[in-house]
Amino acid sequence: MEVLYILVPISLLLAGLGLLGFYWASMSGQFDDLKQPAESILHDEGATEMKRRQK
Amino acid sequence: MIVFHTKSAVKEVIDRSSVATCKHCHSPIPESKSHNEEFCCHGCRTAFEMIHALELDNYYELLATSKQNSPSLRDNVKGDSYDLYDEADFQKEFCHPSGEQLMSCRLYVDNLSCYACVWLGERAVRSLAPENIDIKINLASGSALILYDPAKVKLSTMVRRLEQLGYPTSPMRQDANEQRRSLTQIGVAGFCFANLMLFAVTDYLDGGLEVEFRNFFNWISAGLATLCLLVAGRPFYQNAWLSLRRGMIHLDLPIFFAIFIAYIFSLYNTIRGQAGVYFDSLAAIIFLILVARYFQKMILTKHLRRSAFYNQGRHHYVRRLESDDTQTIIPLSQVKAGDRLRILAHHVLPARCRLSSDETELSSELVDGEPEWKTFRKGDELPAGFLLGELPADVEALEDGAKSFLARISAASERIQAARGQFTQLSETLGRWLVVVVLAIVAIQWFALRDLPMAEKMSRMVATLLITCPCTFGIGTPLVFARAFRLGYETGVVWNNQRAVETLAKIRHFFFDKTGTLTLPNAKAQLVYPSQADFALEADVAAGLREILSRVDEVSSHHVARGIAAWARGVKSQVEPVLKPDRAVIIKAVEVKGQGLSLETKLGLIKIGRAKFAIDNRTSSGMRLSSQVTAYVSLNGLGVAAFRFEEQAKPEAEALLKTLAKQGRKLTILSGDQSQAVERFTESMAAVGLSSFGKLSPVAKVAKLSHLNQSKEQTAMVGNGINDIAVLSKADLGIVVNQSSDWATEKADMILVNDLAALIPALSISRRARRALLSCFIYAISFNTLGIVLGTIGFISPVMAAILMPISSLIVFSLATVW
Repeated sequence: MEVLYILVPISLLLAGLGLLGFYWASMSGQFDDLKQPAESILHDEGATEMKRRQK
Repeated sequence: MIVFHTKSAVKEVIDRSSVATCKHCHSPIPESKSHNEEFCCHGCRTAFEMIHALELDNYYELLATSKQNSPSLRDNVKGDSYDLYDEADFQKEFCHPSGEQLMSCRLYVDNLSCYACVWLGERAVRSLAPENIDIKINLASGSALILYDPAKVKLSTMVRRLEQLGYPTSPMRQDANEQRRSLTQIGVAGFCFANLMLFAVTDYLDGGLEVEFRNFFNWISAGLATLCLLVAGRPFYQNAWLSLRRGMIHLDLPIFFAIFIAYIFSLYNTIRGQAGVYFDSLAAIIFLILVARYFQKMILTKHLRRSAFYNQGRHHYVRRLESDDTQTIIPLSQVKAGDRLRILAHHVLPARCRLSSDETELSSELVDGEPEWKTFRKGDELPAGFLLGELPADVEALEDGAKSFLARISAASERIQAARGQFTQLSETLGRWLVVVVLAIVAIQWFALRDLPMAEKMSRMVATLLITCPCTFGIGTPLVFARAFRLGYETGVVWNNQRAVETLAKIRHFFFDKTGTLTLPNAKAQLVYPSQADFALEADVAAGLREILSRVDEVSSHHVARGIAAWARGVKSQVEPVLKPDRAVIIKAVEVKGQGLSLETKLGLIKIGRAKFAIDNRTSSGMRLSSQVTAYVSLNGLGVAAFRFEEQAKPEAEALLKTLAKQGRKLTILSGDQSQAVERFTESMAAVGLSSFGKLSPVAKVAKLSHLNQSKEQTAMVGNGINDIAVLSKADLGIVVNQSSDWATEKADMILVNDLAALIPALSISRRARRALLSCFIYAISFNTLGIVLGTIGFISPVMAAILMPISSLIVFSLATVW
């Protein structure tokens, strides 16, 4: 049963990574709109000029 | 700064009906086409023939009426005032610099119905300056994020473009990250809660695991609970701290108290290696309450979006004319006496002024409730709060903006609101009761358990605290309000705060303003002379005149023209036969500001307006001049008709008053209009117990309300004008109707978006919301008392409590959402 001392921290570490991923995704607005981005690929052109300028 | 091209005093309009138009789409037929051509193109001919073949000809009639009723999309909603969007002072609430040169602005966008709207809006705005604008429209939240270079392009042009397409906008003044933050907190709380359950299993399976492992698991639980408390528990300790500082009891205070004590106690037991660890319950409470609040917030955001369109804050800005006749937009508070201002059409005079333009028409409706238009000439002193007519006017301010009538009445209303004090809300009262009851129970428990060892006693008391207070009420209250807001939205009511939801059903005495609140904004034209609509003319000439009058609103948007056109359309539908007289063609229309409208037609010269303007030869016409008459109509200089304008009650007003009276509520009209007019109106309403008072100044309205309400019943004021601002704040509940002055809307607790009739369903929503709050509370108290008693005598084991808690939450959830 001593293996739990290794396995539990590992599992928590992995879960923690997932949580960090969620934190990033949520705070950067990935869940703001769940429908529209999926359709935006059908858009013929995007805001390319402005984006290029910002770079 | 913007250079403004002054409109000349005379506005010329060429009538469209003099040009041949397409039978299908009504656009002009190109001159190159043959003379008898009825269609502008082949497509229109095909469409017309198809509609005709299907016997759907009344499509064209419908089209014509719908065109008359709805303003064209091209009419810009905000007049000439888009440039306000470029002013730094106005922008600061919804724009912020992004990077070195760019600005990032957030706007609400209305009327977005599908992805095509998003596509169109984004493309149309971006095409203004593809290299300097990026726009992202979010369909789900009905908002737009615009990133642009202020040195190269103006925000106003983008806003104008969106509104021309039929998507009204409004500044978005809310914190954009709030929703993301709530979602993240829920995610973290859910993560901790789910994992804690795994490790807490050891506690429930007594003796299932060795002590060594139990301690190990408890330490892990402690770590997760700390994370949960630090990240997801933030709203609780923020609110608790705020309420402590203000010396008020907020519902979050006992919740935080329970969570914190449970945490400390569990941590203490973990360190000592003992049983009695409640980390999982703690995380469960945080998670469930956050979820309930998230739902509430989502509905609230949607609703705040709606109220943002009614309350844009535009009325706090005015245009100052500089010495070189350019305009600067400045906040009203910065206006100094002697400044030259330009007031746009349909805007309110912000301060006492002197007129510099030749002539202008003003209505005092918003100030004293008299629905009359008066003419002022150059050099006249104009009182503040008067509403401007159809054309802009230049004025010279006679007082500072900060000391003006509007600033003063606005400040007075804030003082009254502050003095009114915090109305004790039902939810707050119940929450306070809950805290008291729980503390009493804990105290009783302390005595009941005094023979038990300290550790055991503490453990049971913490369990009590955890189970009792937070969950039921923390989840119940937000859900009840969320539902009330949503139901209100569906019936045409915008609540500006939760207090309004609770207060409405308790209102015993309703006060109403008359003009614009119970009556329609446009007065109805009535024929005073002659008695018949044949104008004492030959039948075909009279018919031609009626036809022309029915279309004058196409060439002038003045309220007199609109009223007469509506009258003529009404008569036309009664008079037989409906033949279109061929001479009823307007060739040219000229509107003379402050005088009237002159129409060159195939019938001759028709003039509509003041007696002096319209009638050349008064002696030859049989018409007597009367002070009651507002507009005269003449044909070739001979007076043929005289119109009076009479205000009209809103169609739903009488039924509303009757229903309220039947419910046993007191009704009073407080009006600034002439006492006789108010009395006449009151009699026409025929509602039981309706009393009325006329000729009241804004301050007199407040005094009247307090005088009539000696018994301190709950009062509500329904109004629309600047003269109602003070009394809206004085009443326990301020309600404004659609098309109210911005100044009044700002002070209101509730907005009736469509019509007055929405007040009845709103009352029922409020009543049912109160009942739901109460049933949540009664349930919480009785369930918890029972649980605590059973727990104290040792009847309920921790496992049973763990099963009962989610069931209890579920019951509260259904009590709060199904009513």
